[in-house]
Amino acid sequence: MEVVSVELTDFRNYEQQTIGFQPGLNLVVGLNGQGKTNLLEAIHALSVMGSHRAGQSAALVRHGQERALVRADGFSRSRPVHLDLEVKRSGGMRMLINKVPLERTRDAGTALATILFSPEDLALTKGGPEERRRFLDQIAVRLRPLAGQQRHEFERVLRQRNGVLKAAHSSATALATLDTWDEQLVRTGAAVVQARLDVLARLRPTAEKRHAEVAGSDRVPGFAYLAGWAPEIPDYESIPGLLEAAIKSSRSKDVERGVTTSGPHRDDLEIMLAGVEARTFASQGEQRSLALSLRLAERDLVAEARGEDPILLLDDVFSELDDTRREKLAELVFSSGQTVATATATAGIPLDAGRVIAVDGGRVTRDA
Amino acid sequence: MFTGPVQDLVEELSKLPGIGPKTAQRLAFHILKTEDVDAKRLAEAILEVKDKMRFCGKCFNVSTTELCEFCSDPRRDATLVCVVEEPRDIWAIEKTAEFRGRYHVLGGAISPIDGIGPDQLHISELIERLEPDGIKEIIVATNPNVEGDATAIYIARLIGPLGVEVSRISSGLPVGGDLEYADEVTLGRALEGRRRM
Repeated sequence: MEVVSVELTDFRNYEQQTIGFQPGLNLVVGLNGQGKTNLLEAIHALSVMGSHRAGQSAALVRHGQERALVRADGFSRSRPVHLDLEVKRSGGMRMLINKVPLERTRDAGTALATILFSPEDLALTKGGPEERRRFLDQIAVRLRPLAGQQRHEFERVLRQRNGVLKAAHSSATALATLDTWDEQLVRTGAAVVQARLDVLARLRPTAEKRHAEVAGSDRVPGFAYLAGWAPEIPDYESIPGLLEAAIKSSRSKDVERGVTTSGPHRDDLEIMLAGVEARTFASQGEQRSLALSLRLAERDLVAEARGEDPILLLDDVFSELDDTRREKLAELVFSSGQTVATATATAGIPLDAGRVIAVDGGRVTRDA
Repeated sequence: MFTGPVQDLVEELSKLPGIGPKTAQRLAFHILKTEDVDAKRLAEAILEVKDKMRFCGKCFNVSTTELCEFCSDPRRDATLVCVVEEPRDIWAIEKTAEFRGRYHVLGGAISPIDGIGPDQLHISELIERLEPDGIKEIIVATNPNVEGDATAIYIARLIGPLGVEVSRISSGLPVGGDLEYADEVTLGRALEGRRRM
């Protein structure tokens, strides 16, 4: 799939601008604060109906305006597709695919799928467990829509169980339904864990391969699912039993603290490099390479599931890599569908057959 | 903002479920424009429903008499009881014309974050009905969501050991439609809950 042209109206610092893209590499260059990332954010919004860096959609609307529009023409499974995304300052987004309003946000990616790698993704290796849980959960939803519903149910059950535990401090009868919520927590939690393990099993080989390509080092990464409620998960069938036993044994602690202390909501994806924990022991450059290989592995899984390459959006990746890694990444980019990447300068970036889009103050000044 | 009686009416209307401030305003001005007799009829209907309607002493369905029309109907099977969250769910099941047993209205579903536990629902009254009514089977027809499921599990755990059969209505595909129009979540659920033929 690819995007051929994007028209921005009052989106971030763009007043009115149409930008053309070509298959393969598109490099967006410009000084800091000119709108390079904003352009990636707009394309990404067409796929997820959200922003990777703004909590509220109002931040996407140009100062003093009521609504922002992102219009795009492209191809999905070799068929032309037209997208209209409206972002209201008062909150909320509306999207039309080929002029037909989209009913559910979760269907946004059906027309255009993007994979975004941004500097914020360093949190995948460096940040807390919740970043890595979200990473696995989001891929699970991309591969299997039911996984989203299962995770939603798990979160709701968890909130209700915590409600019981909190009420137990003031009401003697509140604990009467705790068994019920435990049973539901095991059922929905097991589904969430199985979805994550499923994603990890498919992600692991391709992430290792991508890491060898991007990092160009023989330091081998390792990925392991860490569950505080089970030292080891031998197979999917054992998940409900293990989870049930752990929830039972931590019950008195849960009641005392008024919160569920053990379960899939506390799990982590441990990332190792050459046998040691990458979060603590890897260098910043190594952590970036690991995060990038995870996103590229996500790209591979989505490509496999959809039968076509998603659009790769790389925000400020090239500048952080040394020459050999940069060339490795460029090779990889040229062999994988359409890519839109940002950089402060073209220097050092292999650009054979790539398009350069120069932006300056929310305007495209050069397009060649 | 308006003042006096109009504002009072807007505020009262916006307390109703599903009515936001804008709809409340529209309704208030609509009432203001209607004939006196129509406005009076509306006011009387509201007063009358509070005055004359009550809840069935046995199943907590809405009723004008001590026992509701289902609990007092001898043709209905008293040993089979369908448990629902709200009285309006009874009407949904009645429309199917497939159920010939009686009902029990819980008045909601277990939801600890909203402060609703078994004590806030008519669950103990259901237990009290089991023996005098000779109930043999209970069908739990609470909503197919997390709270409805929790309520069903709670009731099954409570009543199952007493020798009464407890079942849960299944969820899945709408009948008569095309498979391709079903959303992925419902279709996924239907696959999960498939049955052997």
